[in-house]
Amino acid sequence: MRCRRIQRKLSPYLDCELSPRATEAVRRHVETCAACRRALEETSALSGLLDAMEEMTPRPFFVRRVMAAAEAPVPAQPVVTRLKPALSRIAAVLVTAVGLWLGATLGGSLRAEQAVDDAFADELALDLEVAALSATPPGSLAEVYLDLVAESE
Amino acid sequence: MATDEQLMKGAAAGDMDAFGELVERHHQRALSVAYRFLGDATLAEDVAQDAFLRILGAAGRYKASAQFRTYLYNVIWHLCVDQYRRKRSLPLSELPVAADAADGPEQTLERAERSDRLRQAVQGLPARQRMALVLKHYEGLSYEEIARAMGCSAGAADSLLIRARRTLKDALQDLV
Repeated sequence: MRCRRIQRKLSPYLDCELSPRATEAVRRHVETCAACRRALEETSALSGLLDAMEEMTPRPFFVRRVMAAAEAPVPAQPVVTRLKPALSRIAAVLVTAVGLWLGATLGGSLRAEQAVDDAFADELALDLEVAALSATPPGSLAEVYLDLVAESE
Repeated sequence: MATDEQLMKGAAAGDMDAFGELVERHHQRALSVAYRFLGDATLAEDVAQDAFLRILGAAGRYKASAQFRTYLYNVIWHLCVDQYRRKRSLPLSELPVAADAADGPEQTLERAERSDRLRQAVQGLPARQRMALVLKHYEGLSYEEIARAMGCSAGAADSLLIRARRTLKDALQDLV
């Protein structure tokens, strides 16, 4: 293994996070490579150094202070804040209801308008003597074809 | 002895004794992580207390899918990040170094200076590298546990530690 790859593995090696195979490979390499061995020693020395960082000594009665805060009565919230969740739900229901009512109302009026439009179209068709809904309007190829077929029968 | 998960269930049901037992068991660890990350004892106490209160508030939603301490570290990590963002450079508290009976005054001073330099070097690390180092070196978590506490992958935890150690070695090369 090349030194660069080995040195990349020194940190997890010291943390015992490598697979047994990788651990063995690192161990064998550092036995024979002075540079990697030195890098390993420096990383190891750093761990020892970090141990020298002083631990924090908490002020007395930390646990008691936490429990006092946990058991302290919750201050009364303004009415609006307390009612906010309920108001949000009511608002959602109202919006949904209004939306459904609008949909039903507008949908109904659209259908009525469509019926009026259809009736108008029929009247217009009659006025213009255009058999718009006919499958074979007068003079159309389809009419001629059907006439031919009827004659041959 | 009740497990942490049983105590959390009790706390969720309003059992303050159960919650108190949890705080008693884990407060030192919470303070240690917060202090080593923030470098300020007062802030560390605030963060640790806040962490426990938030855990109590969310006890009803707690799922024992991971160890309680991993969950605690996760909450502390988020609170520490909040502090980190608020104050990019946190004041380093001058903690008195306990004198070792075997040390003379010179050795005590030397230890105090060394500890201070270490603290400054660790405080100089970016937040994620710093927390990964604290959880690995001082709490003994595995890469997998660090990943769960910090919400990253084990590979990311590995990279964070490599970079943290490289930076510290450069900063403390005369001491290493």
